[in-house]
Amino acid sequence: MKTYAIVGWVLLIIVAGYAMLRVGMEVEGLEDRLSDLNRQAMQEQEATHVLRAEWSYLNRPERLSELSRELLPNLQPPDVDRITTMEQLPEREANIVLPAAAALGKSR
Amino acid sequence: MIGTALLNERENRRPRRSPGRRRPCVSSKALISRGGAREAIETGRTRLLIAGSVLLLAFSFVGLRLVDLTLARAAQEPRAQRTVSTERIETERADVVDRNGVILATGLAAASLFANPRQVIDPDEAAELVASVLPEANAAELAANLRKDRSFVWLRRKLTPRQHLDIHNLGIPGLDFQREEIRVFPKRRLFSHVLGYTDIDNHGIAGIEKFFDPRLHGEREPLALTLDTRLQYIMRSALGEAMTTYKAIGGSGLILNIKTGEVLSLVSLPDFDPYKPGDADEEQRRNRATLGVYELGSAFKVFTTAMALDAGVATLDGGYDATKPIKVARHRIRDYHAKGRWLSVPEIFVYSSNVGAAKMAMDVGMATQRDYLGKLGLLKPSPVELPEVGSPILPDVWRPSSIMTIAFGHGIAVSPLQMASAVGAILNDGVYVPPTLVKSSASAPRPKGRRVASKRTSREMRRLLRLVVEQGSGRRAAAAGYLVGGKTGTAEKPVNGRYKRSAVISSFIGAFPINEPEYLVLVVLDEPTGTKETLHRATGGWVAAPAVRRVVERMAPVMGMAPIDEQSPALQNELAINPEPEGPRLASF
Repeated sequence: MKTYAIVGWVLLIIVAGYAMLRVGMEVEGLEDRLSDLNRQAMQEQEATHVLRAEWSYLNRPERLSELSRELLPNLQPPDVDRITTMEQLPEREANIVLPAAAALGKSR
Repeated sequence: MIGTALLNERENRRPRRSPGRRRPCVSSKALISRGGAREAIETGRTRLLIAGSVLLLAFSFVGLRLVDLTLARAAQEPRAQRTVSTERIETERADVVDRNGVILATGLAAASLFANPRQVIDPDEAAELVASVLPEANAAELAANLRKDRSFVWLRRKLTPRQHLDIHNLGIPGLDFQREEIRVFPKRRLFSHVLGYTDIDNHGIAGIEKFFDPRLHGEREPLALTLDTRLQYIMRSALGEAMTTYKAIGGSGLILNIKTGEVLSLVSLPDFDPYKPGDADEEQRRNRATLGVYELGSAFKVFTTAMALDAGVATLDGGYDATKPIKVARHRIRDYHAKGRWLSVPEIFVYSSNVGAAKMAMDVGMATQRDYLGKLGLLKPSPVELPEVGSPILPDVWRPSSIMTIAFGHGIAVSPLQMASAVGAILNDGVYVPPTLVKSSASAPRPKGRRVASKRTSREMRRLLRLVVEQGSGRRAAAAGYLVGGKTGTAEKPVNGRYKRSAVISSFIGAFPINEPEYLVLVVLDEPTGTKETLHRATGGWVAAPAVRRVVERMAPVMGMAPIDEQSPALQNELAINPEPEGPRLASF
């Protein structure tokens, strides 16, 4: 009886010890992963920081105006005559037929 | 001990352990005796037991300590060390951003190359290799550095990423990199005077970088300025255009929110590359908007007229005799476009009559004039947050001649920023708000302004300024739909103690919408030259006013301001003034 009890206890200790080792290893692995991820997060943050500075650099007003002159030749800075208010816009007449609507009507 | 036990054996057969009676000699006869042998074994066993338990104790202590270190403690200690913090990245200096959060200055990581000369095997070869990668490096200089008897020497600070990689790949022993921070100004020259620059160790040595050096070093939060990148660009391009067209040697431009004192744009030309401030000369580095002080001429009539109206010595219906020039001391005060007759106060303002202004100032008196200019912040350096702030140049002794010349902006030199704040105060219902470059926050609200002029005077001055743009010398500043009011200024520059007619400082100070002014725009040009289009005139109305108009036209849509109908009866009525009963035909100067 006594022998069984001792054997049982010893087995229990071995199992518990193994389980603890496993858990310990797992924790270590997870910790490594966490620090990897954290390091990665830091790198990403640094990359974002650099990109933000670059974004500000690429958005220099002189560069934008140069690009707009080159690529959007039909656009120009708005002058006073092009600005108006909603109230000053003429009311759309009820019986007016829009070109697109007319085309649709014909095809039907 | 052994000897003692055996010697005692013979006498009383009892072991006695008395160290005092120990003898170093061991007799071989004693060992043979039988009873003595048993005693010896007994003693040996006891000793073994003692030694054994001591060892057991020691080993169990080691075992416990092992458990303690591996299971109990070790799991905690490295965790803190290994885990990289995910908080925001550390930067040596906080960012500087504009009012909309656009980055104006930030720090980026850069590697710096240093060497431990004692570990370098062949300095000449190492120097040769490094020089082959760094284009500007001098091999001989590097070799000299590498031969020094020290354990640390900088070879090159702040490498580009490519140079970093190249040197790394050379694999020279004794060379290593130190992570440093490089200050980056993404907008390049656009803000060079305001932001200033830092030295190689990232200490601010000019501009905002210097003024807020402790703040930028100590705090992480970005420093938000009141400047607006878009407006800064609008101002810089308009000013640059005017400078090129009129071949001016310099210029400055300011946009001020007169209600809050916020500086929205501050430009000084010529400017410099913030990465190479050392290459720039004195003229380029000088901030003409805050450090430079100038006699700004007729724009000072704004103050003269306001103080006369405020003090009650003049009214808009009153006037002065401007038939003849005034002689005072060595000076002779005359009008450029002399009318040779009596002029009403609005006429004096719109014609920019020096004689009229001088007489008005004499009526106001010395004490009031000085006090008034003082309240407008014109007698002390501007309180703006920059280290480069110029002190105004004032007359040593305030004589009657000083009163008269100051009335039309001579004999007193102030910075364009001081001028802008002071005119802003007159137009802002008479309340002076100190100018600022730092966006206010809930924790640091803007200080309240102080009253300088009465509300009534402010309203009258707005009408006079509108008149100048509607009919007077400021016509070229009229941006349709935005109701600009303003005043021109043209002052001869003193050269070697004498005023030089050909070298002038021409300016225009405008505010809009003048019925309830919000923004003030000031353009100052240094030594402009007239062109064919300006009929070879280089006065404020010809060269500076058009630049102000361009700025207003472009900035108003950016600020979300809708154009207004300038001809509406309500506005006409609000700004009505009668300059001249016979109908206006006004000179331009």
